[in-house]
Amino acid sequence: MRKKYRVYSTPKEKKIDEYFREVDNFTLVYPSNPELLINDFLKDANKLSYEFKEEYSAKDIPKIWDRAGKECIKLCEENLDVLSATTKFPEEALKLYVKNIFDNLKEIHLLKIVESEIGNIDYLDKFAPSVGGYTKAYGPKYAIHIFPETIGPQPLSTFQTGVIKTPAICKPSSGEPIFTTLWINSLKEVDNNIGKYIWSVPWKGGNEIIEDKLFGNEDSAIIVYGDNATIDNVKSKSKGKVLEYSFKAGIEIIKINNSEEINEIASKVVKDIAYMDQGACFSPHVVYVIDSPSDSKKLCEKMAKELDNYPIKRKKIGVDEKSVISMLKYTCLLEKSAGLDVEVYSGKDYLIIYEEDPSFQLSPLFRTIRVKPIRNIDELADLLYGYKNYIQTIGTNLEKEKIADSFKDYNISRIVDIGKMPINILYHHEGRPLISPLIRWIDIE
Amino acid sequence: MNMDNITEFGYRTEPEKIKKRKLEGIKNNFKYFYDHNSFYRRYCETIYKYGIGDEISPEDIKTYEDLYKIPLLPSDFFKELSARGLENYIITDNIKANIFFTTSGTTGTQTKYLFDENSLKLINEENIFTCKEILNVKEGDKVIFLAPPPERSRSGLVQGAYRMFQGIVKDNIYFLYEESIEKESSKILEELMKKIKKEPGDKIHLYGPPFVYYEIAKELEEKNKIMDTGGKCMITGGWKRWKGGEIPREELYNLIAERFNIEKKDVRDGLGLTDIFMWCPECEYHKKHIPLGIHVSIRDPENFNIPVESGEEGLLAFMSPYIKSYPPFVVTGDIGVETTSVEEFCECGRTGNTIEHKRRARGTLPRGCALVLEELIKRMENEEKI
Repeated sequence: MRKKYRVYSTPKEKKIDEYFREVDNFTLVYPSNPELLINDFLKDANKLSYEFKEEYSAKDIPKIWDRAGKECIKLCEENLDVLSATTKFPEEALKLYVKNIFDNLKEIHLLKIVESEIGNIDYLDKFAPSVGGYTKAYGPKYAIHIFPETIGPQPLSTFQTGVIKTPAICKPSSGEPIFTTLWINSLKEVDNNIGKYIWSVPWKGGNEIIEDKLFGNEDSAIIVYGDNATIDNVKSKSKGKVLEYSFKAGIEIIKINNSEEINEIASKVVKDIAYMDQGACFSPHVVYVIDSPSDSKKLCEKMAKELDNYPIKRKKIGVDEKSVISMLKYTCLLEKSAGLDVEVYSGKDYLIIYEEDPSFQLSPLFRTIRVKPIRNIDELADLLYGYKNYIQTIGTNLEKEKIADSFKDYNISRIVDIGKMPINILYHHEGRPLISPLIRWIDIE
Repeated sequence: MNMDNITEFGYRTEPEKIKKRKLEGIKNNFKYFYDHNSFYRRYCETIYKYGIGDEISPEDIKTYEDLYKIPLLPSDFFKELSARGLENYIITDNIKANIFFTTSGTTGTQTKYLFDENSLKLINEENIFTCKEILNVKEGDKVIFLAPPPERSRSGLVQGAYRMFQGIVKDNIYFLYEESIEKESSKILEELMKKIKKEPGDKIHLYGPPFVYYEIAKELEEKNKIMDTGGKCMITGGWKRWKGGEIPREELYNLIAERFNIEKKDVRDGLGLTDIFMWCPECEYHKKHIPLGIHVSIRDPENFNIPVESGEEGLLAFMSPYIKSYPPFVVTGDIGVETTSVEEFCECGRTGNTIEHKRRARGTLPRGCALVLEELIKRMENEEKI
């Protein structure tokens, strides 16, 4: 018997027409007319906004999110089979990723984010003493979350609007709607009432009937993850605030001081590459090795060995992804035949390319990485300037402050040790605060 | 299958003979490159050294199935070479390759393909044969290019077709975009048709990319006009546009049939094989036929030496017996399926193979002659405005 999963969530108990999509051995259940659900939400938006603020204080939210995080780990573990079918990640990989996502979602940490941004969390509930009188922060009437296929941003993104007590609609990705559903179910599990204020409704991106209506309110906010086309589409329709998290990439900058270090460096770099198979905004696309071409090749060899024996296997990939990676591999071998300084190290589920040409190139992902020697940081800074809108995270074994100073004009938002590129504790996202862009202030003098 | 149609050699020849012809042609060309193109020889050795191909020499090619062992060049490599100005690097020793055509340009540098005269002559002979056999274009017909003339475009889409049609209809070729564009495309076409003076029974064929057809047919629809050409509407180039996404295929076929007063079976798309400078036009059943000498296959994306099962998706790969300037054993970045195998006959009664182009492998950037032409035509419009 096929297991059924409803991939939408609304508080209303009314009968909804549904349609089904089969994924492996599972049936995903979607609403046939998402526009009807959106209409319900918009009709009740004022009431929901009022009640959310009445029923909860801002301080309740970090507590609920912390408990829901623990619940979601449990729920994900119970549903690894379907999550694996939609994300294509193997189950053992999902266990690790889910744990990592919710490690970030502790009450104390969430409170710190809010307080570091706005000073006093009470501002979100009432007029509280401030510099010259009393101040209160107001959020938008409602918010919309547009999630990517990658699992990860859902808990924190919903926290951004939850803590300001703004009712929200989540639009899960059509390819991977399960994680969003499990997350919202976890919230409801620890606090059934919160489900009134966080709906999940999948619809086909670009649906003008829905989007014109939903995005067209000046007192709304949209948090959108996606490629440039998705973000441009949303921005062109939105009359409210838009917090965009577009496609980003990471790089690693490494100095090999002696060959004894290579094993350890390789192991750390591989950890960064294998995490979510480079599908996250912080994942490395190129590893730059300062001033040692011969050590760079040794590093590639060690990385290949690590990846051969890496305990977590790569996600399942389709004809297209396999094709793009193979085309790259053969192209590199042709370049080698043409006398260029290129080396190829490949295994069942990875491709490492050593290239003398230092230019930055995006990886086709799924454990495909270029390793390039570079003379010094200044040369790298010159090379990367043209890509400054893409690069988010730098993993390095050099002095992080110096790297930050060298790339301060590059829209870089995270500098971390190698092996630690996956987000552990998020503070600013894409170099921007999480809560304050969504609120406006009223001072009483 | 009506076997009476089988002639001595052509699209109705029995499959075994076709396979034999392909085997001989490709095998000989592989030997030629193995012996005379030092770059390709090194590549064969590199592939083997890296454990992703067999150790191979021309003596190893004995059967049709052995052709899958021939090392293929990814078409992305041509792009890489062009970007670095290294096109000459892969040219066969002692070949004078002084004619070039281009494709793409959507990602910056256009990809350049270098040819010698003799290769082009052989290619053109086969293209002419295919065009006559599949599209029934005859001497005395007229062809209008919905594209700029060859002096203004080095793209394979224009250059290859011009040579091919010239070989059949001689000077009866006209161009929609001779000069800067001052008015609506449908208006220019209307005036051109008047100038050509179509007599009863004359056939005027149109040839161009989907976006031009779409624009013209839409304009005609708005004006509620029908243009009677009496010939075929041949489509070439990609279906993606710079703006507005993919052109709806069925809608365009219907629009063209309606606005040019022809049957839908006379609207024929074609797949341009820029890497080997050939074209696979559709038959009346809208199946894309591979020129007889060309070896086509759909390869396993993880191992280019293995073909996938007929009907399964994989990477489109082509091998040509005609080109001598660079190794014409190419795996494209396009996903396709084989719709008629080399052993079978198509519904139209012609022999296979036929293929269906599905899409550019996702993850790569769009490229294609139609995109370049769209840009060029836009530029011509802008020239006028300036």
